[in-house]
Parts: sequence; C-alpha cells; structure tokens
Amino acid sequence: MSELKQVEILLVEDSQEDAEITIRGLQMANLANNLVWLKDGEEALDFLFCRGRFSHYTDYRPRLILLDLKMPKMDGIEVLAEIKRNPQTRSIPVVMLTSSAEEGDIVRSYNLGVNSYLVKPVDFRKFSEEIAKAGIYWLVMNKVPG
Amino acid sequence: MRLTTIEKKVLAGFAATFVILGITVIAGGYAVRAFINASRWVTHSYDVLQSIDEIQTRIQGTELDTRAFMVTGNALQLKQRDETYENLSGLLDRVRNLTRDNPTEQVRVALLGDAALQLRGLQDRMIAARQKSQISAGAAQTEMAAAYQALQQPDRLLAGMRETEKGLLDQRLNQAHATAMRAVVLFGVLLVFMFGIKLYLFFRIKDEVHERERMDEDLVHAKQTLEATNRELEGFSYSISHDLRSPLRAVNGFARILETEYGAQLDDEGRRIISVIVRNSEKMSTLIDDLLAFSRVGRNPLTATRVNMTALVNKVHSELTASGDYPSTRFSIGDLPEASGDQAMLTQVWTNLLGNAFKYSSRSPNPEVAVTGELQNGECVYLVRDNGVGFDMKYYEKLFGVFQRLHSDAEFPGTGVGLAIVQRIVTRHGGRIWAEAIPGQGATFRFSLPAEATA
Repeated sequence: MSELKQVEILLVEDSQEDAEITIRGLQMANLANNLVWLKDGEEALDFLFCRGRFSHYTDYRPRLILLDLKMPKMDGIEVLAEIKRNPQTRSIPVVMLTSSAEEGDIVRSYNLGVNSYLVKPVDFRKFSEEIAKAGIYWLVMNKVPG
Repeated sequence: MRLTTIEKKVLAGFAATFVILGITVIAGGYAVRAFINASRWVTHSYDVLQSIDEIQTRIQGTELDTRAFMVTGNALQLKQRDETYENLSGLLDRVRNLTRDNPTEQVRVALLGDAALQLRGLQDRMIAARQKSQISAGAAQTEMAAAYQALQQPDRLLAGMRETEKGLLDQRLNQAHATAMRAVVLFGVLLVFMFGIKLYLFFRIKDEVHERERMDEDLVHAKQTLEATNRELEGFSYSISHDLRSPLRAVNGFARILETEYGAQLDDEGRRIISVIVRNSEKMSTLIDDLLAFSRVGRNPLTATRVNMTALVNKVHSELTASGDYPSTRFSIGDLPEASGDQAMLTQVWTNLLGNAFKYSSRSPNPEVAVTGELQNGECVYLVRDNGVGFDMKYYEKLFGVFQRLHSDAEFPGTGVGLAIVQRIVTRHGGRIWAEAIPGQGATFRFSLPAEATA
C-alpha cells in the first residue's frame, strides 16, 4: 500500500465509461499514474477521512479531487460540502466534472468553495484536452499550502 | 368602444329607468293640474251653496223686517229691509254669474228675482198701508198670509238650486277623488316597472360577478398547472443535459479510442464507419445543447437594461469573425437605435441572426451582410440583410419552428434551433420578427423591440 503515499488524483465518478474516458484523457498528459478512482461519494469521504474500509490508512491526501456532480446516494455537491467544511481537507483543490451547465449547480458549487467547474464535452478529443489542461494547472502550476 | 353584454344590459336598464322617470314627471304634472281643476270646481260648488243659503237668509230677513215694522212702525226696520234687498240683488247677480254654464239654474235665478220682486211688492203695499195707518188688523192678517205664500216660491226655487248644486258637488268630489286615484295608480305602476328593471339588473350583475369570480378561479388554477408543468419541464431538461450526454460521451469517446488504438488494424471502410459514429454523436450533442438553450430562453427571467445595439452588434461581429472565418464577407453597420432589454438574450439574437447571414452568404461570389435600424411608430426596428442563398417564401411558416430547416445539413450545417430561439427572445421582449427572401438572391430579417421597456 506504499504507492498510496503518492496518490495525486482522487477521481470520484459513478459511471464506469466516464471514469475510463477521464483516466485515458489524463493518461495522455501522463497524469494518471497515481490516481485512485472511487465510485461514490460515501467511499470518497471514507477515503479522505480514513474511515470504513480505509480506516487503516493514515494521512494519504490527494493533491487534486475530480468530483462528478450527479451520483447515486451522496451526490457531488454533498461531498464537496463535507470536504470544504473539514479543515483537514479544505485546502485540497476540488474540480467539479459534470455534464450539466445548470446555473443553479454552478452557483451552489462556488458557494461551497469549489476551485473549478468543468462541463465535460461530448467530443472525446476536446474532453481529453480540457482534462489534461486542468490536471497540469492544478498539479503542476498551482501552489497549495504545504 | 366595444361593450360587453352585461354593460349593454346595464346601460339599457338605466336608459329605461330614466325614460320611466321622465314619464313620471310629465304624468305627475298632468295629474296635479287635473286635481287642481277638479278641486276648483268643488270650491265653486261650495260658493254656490253658500250664496244660496245667504239669499234665503236675506229673503227671510226682509220678511222679518217688514213684520217688525208692521208691529212697531219703526222706520229703522224699513231702512234695514232696503239694505237687505240691495245685498240680495248683489247675491243674485253673483249666483247668476256662478251658474252661467247651467241654463236651468239661470231660469231659476230669473224666477227667484221675479219672486223676490213680487214679495217686495207685497211688502211695499203692506208698508204703505201701515204708514197711512189704513190697515185693519184683519186686512193685515190677510196681507201677511199672502206674503207668507209669496215666500214659499223663493224657498222652493232655492231648495231646487241647492239640490242641483249638491248633486254637482258630489259629482265633482268624485271626479277629484278619481283624478287623485288615477295618479296614485299610475305612479304605482311606474314604480313597479322601475323596481322590476333594477331587480333584473341586480341579478344580471350578480351573475356576471359570479361568472368572473369563477373565471378568476379557473385562471389561478390554470396558472398553477402551468407552473407545475414548467417545473416538470425544468427537471426534464436538466435530465436531458445529464442523462443523454453521458452515454453520448461514451459513444464518442470509445469510438475515438477504437480509432486511436485499433485504427491500424482496420481498413478504410472500418475507419469511415468510426468517423460516422463520432460525427453523429457530436451532432446529437449539439442538438441537445441547442434544445437546452431554447428551453432556457423561456425559463430564465428577463433583466431589462438600456442596451447600446451598435456596440453589441460590433462585438458579436468580431467574435464571429475572430477565428478567421468569412474573410471575404463585406460587413456594414448603420446607426442603430438604443434598445431596452436583456443584454445576454439580445446578444444571443444578434449572434444567431449574424451567424445565419454570414453562413448562408458564404458561398456567394461577393458576400455582403448589412445591419441597419431605425425608430418606427414607437418601436425600434432592426434589419439584417445578406446576399446569400435566401429561401423559398413557400416554406416561410417553417422558418421559426424548432428543428425546422430550409437547407440540408450537407449544404449548410445547423440544428434548426437558432431562429426559434431568436423568435422566442424577441417575443418575450414584446417585439415581432419577420423575414423575406428570394432564393439565390439573399434574405432580409427584421425584428422590432418596444422603444420603452415592457418586461
């Protein structure tokens, strides 16, 4: 489990296909080497706060969280609220990845402190481009508190 | 001015009431006059009766005076008798005058005059005899009996006259009473009519109010239903954007992955098929996006401000040509009147109209797009003209329909939502949009916006 120390990206996405496409996009920019993909919000929070089946882990903070908005049980907005409420996780950049450009969702996400909001294009090439750009920006260019 | 049925009824009702009021006033005037007339005749009869009584009193008075003189020889009695006769002749004149219209009474008055003269003659004779002291007690007795006889004649006449006049009085009292009764009945009938009309109007107005209340309720209900439908539609378009795009992204993405990773193992036909899948998934994505944009036009609230249309059109134009598209198109813009409306929505209008003009003129040898605008009858009217392919006016009805296109996707790509969005925005601003075109020569689109904000 030592590789988890280098977890850089946490992808929270319920759709297998969307997750695969996202991961492939990140792979093209060589960003998917240390990526953990979880299928729902509850798991994501367990992972971040070392609870449930992740209770034996300590302090594996990802450097970027890619969060799908619409998921069963606990949706992206609730996960975002939890992450930004907790001082431990507050400083981790969270990028919303979603199919919808609904004004209401965007406003709610920003009110909860989202760092970026991306609408996933249908066109795979555009999507790969955008996700690579976002990965490079948040992982390479952006500075966060140590 | 157009009147509703109830307004017509109320007006007619009031008119009828006023007519009845007018009739009442006129009829009232006549009734009062008739009553005064009848009353005058009654007074007249009382006058006659009173005169008759006075005549009788006077005649008896002369006889009493005469007899008193016969007994006492006092000259004062004679003087009194003469005065009474003078009064009597005045009274007779008066009665004659009062009964001018009655020949029988005139005869009676004449006879009465004669009887009075006869009586006076008898009395004179007795008085003369008394003055000369030539009359014996017996003769005086006889004379007095004769005078007494002479008195019967005027009494009879007077009684007859009294009878006649009393009859007339009864008749006239009855007539006055009948006149009054007729007026009362007439007023009663008119009053009932008026009351009836008011009652009718009251119930009509009551029905009308009731009907309007019911319509208000229906309207409120319809509004609630519409709001519920709108909310449903909102949820529906939200689902479309999420649930349809996700599988579409998988179709597109995996076709691309197939192309990238297995393209070398496929022949040309295989690669062509992949490109068809990719292209169509992208096409469908555009359709979904446009449909969502169209539904958003109806849902988003309007925020009206003053909009500098010239600046807006220039901005849209530079965005449209920023990527180097349409290098040969000549673009001109006139002085556009300022509009009042939602900045973002009006930007959408110009983006779609200019986009169409540039797109459909792009194959002309010398493409031209011109934008002008002016104030017309309190409206701002804007015009976009191009010299492109135009369209057949036969299909004008389809021009602003959702997903309706007058050109094939191969000729000019598009989803057929742009003009539908434009029309919806313009209509929401209280304006109109219309167009004309000649195939092969170009199209002209015009839209109007109210000069003052209405939203």
